[in-house]
Amino acid sequence: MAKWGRRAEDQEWFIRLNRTEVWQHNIIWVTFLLLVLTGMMSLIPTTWVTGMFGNYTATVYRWRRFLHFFFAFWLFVGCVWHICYLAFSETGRQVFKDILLKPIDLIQMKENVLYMLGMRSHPPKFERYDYKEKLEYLFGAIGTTVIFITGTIMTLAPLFPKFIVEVAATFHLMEATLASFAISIWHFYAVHLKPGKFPQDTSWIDGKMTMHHLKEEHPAYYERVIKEREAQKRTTKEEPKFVLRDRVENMTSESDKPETGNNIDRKKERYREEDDL
Amino acid sequence: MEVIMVQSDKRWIISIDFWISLFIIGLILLLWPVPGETADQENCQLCHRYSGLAAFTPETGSKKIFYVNEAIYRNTVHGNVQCTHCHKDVKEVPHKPTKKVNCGEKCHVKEPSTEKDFSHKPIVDKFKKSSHGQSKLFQYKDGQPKCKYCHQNPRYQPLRGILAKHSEDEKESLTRCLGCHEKDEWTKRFLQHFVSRTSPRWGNREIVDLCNTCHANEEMMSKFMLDTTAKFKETFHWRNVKYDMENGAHCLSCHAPKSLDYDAHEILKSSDPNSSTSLTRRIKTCGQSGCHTAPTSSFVKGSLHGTELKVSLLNTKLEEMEGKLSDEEEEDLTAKLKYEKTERLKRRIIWAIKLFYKFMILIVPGIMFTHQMLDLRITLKERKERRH
Repeated sequence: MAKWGRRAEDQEWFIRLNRTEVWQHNIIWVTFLLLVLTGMMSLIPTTWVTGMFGNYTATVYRWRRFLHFFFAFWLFVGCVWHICYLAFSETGRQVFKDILLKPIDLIQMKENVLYMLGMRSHPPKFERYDYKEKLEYLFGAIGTTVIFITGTIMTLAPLFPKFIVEVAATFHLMEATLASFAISIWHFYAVHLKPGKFPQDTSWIDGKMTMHHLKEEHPAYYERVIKEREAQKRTTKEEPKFVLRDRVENMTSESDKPETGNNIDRKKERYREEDDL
Repeated sequence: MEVIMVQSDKRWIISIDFWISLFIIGLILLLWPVPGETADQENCQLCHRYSGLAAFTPETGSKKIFYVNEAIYRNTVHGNVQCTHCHKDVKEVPHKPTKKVNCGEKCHVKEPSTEKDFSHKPIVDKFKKSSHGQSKLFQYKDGQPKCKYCHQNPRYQPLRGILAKHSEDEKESLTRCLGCHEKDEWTKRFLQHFVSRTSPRWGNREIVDLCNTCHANEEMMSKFMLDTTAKFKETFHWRNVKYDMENGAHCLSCHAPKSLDYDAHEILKSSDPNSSTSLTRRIKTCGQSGCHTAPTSSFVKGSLHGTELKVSLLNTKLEEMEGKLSDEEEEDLTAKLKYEKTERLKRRIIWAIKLFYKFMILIVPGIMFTHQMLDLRITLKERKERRH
């Protein structure tokens, strides 16, 4: 898996997402997925649904409607929680500052594309969030706002002019379709299919990322973290809070042992497996 | 051997007589009008049973088939009505060409609640007052819908709706009825009639398709200065109908809502103040059965399934009638045109939003996919280099 490796940085874990962020992410992705499923059901030809559910088709569609509202409510709760977190907590405010799209991101985007095309020797040094994550977050926020506003208009349709309801319905359907495509291509690759991440980046579960991955994907931020850690060490002589040592401790007991032939073979095998992935 | 031969000849002679008698009796039985329960008491099937019985009128190019399948007819809703009850001008056999059937005439079936002769006259009278029935509106012969446009003397179907939980129900119900009502044929027909009327004859989707056969036809609607309903299948109402949702609104849900005591035979133009789709009554119509709870007056305004056809029709009419119209008529037509143009603008805005998103759905995921493929390529390359 992504968090096991041969380098020293692989044995140190960095808290990429704190517990609040992990829960917010989980609420949002679960409800998003279920909203897409219950929403897109209305686009499937009826004959398919009738073929699957027979006489229960009407009941299935009734439940689809109810569940769509239910998950929309929980997505709303997740989003409100996230907005409050960004507004009222120190770490949240820092996240907001770091994730805002800045001119440097556009420059880095250009540099990275050139690098991927082989027209540049090295990739740009990304900070805490790279342009890919920032764009996804930005468009996610815009899309969710559009979906919420239009969904509310559709739910309270009789209170609005018919034209507004029709415009809202059009936006809702089209924005949802666009978002589904975008997430399934952009995010799914970044956290599941990318070599080194397959089958999944487990930070969505525990919020942790290896220092190696941090160094590889966000080198500018890695350098800042290391510098801050050194400074923190010098002043407080304590372990910095943002790096977990528990996994390191677990592993040092094994790594301290003299390397026998069996141990070396096992390690080699593990590295090979990781590379294959 | 001889004895046997003689006996054999005798048998042969007897059997000739026997078969001739049988043939004559059979012929008499076959041609004899059978009184009683059959629908064909007048023996119309003598000629109309032949599937080739048809007429072709070269002047009009019309083809008419006069074949009647008795087995099918007997099982239809009119199965116990005699032919001459509707084809009243048939007095002799062979008969002359008959007039078209008038569904408003009385037939000899007794209406059980009044014991009077049954007739569709009340419905026909209602229909004549409706938009579909006002002949003055129909300057084109093929435009005016007749009863048969919608009602095709359907066959009774097996149990449906509330009584159709199990296939055995029909048999069980019939057995229960036959406990008191002795005549099998009558009882079965009564049960079939009763059951078929407990649920609507047409499914919601069938109603939309039926109305669309005329109303989605641009050429036909243009003759009546009407917009087509082709866009209805792009609305949320249609989606609910398509998915068999209980409150899915089909054509009659708004144009003849049953819950507001309107009848499908009484559909009026929306400009008529008594119409369920008139501006004054739309709030009630849209709010019926909890469809749209307490709709506002702005919500019910506008066209639901309009197309661009009406604007072009009104434009043409204004051009053609220029100088021939009175001030009032011209003002009325101009107001209508203005309204239709506003509706057209609204439709175009929605169309533009859809077009924008279709473009985005094509471009954005395309760019994303290309980016991620480039990333995959460079990541694999980096890993390969690192390994060496």
